[in-house]
Amino acid sequence: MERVWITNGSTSVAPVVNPLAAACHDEFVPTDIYVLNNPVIADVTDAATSLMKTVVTAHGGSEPSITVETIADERDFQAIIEYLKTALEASTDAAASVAIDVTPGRKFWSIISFRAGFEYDVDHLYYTHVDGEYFGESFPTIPRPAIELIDFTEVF
Amino acid sequence: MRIKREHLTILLNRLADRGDARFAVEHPSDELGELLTVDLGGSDDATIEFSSGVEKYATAREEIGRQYPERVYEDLPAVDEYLKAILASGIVDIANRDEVETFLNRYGDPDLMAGHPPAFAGFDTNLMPWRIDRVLGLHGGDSVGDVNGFVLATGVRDELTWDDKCHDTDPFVEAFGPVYEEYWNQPLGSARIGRLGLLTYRRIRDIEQAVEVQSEQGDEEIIAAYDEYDRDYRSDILLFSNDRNFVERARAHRLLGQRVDFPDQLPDKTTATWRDVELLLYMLAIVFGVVELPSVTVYGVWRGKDELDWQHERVELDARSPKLDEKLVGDLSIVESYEELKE
Repeated sequence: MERVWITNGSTSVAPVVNPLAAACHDEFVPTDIYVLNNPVIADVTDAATSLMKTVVTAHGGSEPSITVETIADERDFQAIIEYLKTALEASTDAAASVAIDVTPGRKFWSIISFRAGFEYDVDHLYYTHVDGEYFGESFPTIPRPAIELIDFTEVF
Repeated sequence: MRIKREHLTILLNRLADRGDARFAVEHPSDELGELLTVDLGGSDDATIEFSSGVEKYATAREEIGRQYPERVYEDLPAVDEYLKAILASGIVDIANRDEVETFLNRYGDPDLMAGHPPAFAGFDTNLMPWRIDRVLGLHGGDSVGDVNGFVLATGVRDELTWDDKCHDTDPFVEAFGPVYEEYWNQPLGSARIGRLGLLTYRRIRDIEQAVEVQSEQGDEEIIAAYDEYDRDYRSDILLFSNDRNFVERARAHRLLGQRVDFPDQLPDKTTATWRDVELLLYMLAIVFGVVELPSVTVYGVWRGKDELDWQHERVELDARSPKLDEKLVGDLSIVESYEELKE
């Protein structure tokens, strides 16, 4: 079965990749990944997508197919919604299990994807909480008690 | 797999996942056995228990000395070295903290704007292996008594540089088992401790950009070199040593000498962060050469360990469970890729 991971780019790699690593640790190992990007953070997105492949394969998955959607204006709300719709509808067509990660990226990106997650009744709506002193570190070196993968589909 | 000290949380995490959040750190020999117990708890409040205590360690070590009087016995850290390794990991303190604080409050953190000379810390050889700059808290931030920098006499470096390599692993294998085949061509006992000292020396020199002053070996030559720098550059050198004579000689040169006393006992238990636990495991692996955790053997030295491994503070992990091994290898691949991308 396909498993889709939908997330946002960020100004640093850790918040993009750590939630994925935490989810893989909890045995959600994606086959397909969608990343929202804009030109300002493109270098970070490049690095993050490369590392996402390492994370998935390190957890026994095949190299995932990664789709990066770059929007020219980060506040182009319609483009953000379009990005999410495309990813979610492709997932529905494939009868995939879907996780949206709202941890990284601009706050309004997260808010929009949070709403979309409920609208499309995704399987997981993840947010990763990290103790401040471990910001910028990668998941395997953060003490387990200092990082929590919260699934908001279970909170509401 | 080879892993940097600062990445040992990978192992701690995987042990916690397996239900081994409380684990013993053991020496491979039956005689020494359990050295201490770690209970990982939260990320800031791991508990370290020293149920064995120093006396039991001392007795067991002497017993080994009767059976294997030479190389094997000499390789085992003396009681004070075992204690200092624990001190260096930051979970027990120096014995005269108050005295050192008073000294630092008085002479550290000078008012440079008022024309007071800068204060530089210098060290005697006997303190270097134990991460003393960190232990004393000389690295700025909000602590009182910060120093303005460091001065290092090359005589200290030279006193830390000697080699005593293992050319015959048989006595070790016979005494403690086949893991000691990894000792081949690796430094033994006190030479490993010397290496720790060199690492501190180089870290202070390269990262803290310390001033290096040329000196011969020996207390008098080392002190003279510090003294010369002190006079030439109108600075105050705060000279730390564990040796009373060294401190007195320093004072005779009108240098500010301060003795650092090591503890001679261990508490029953103490708390630590996971970062401290990483350091503790690293220090124990180096001073003992090899230690065992549940399902994992941690080698401080191993056949083929090279200069870069020392510099990066790497240990070798041998997971005795294939499942655990696979997970550790996967985690390490993520961390190493992450660090490459960050650079």
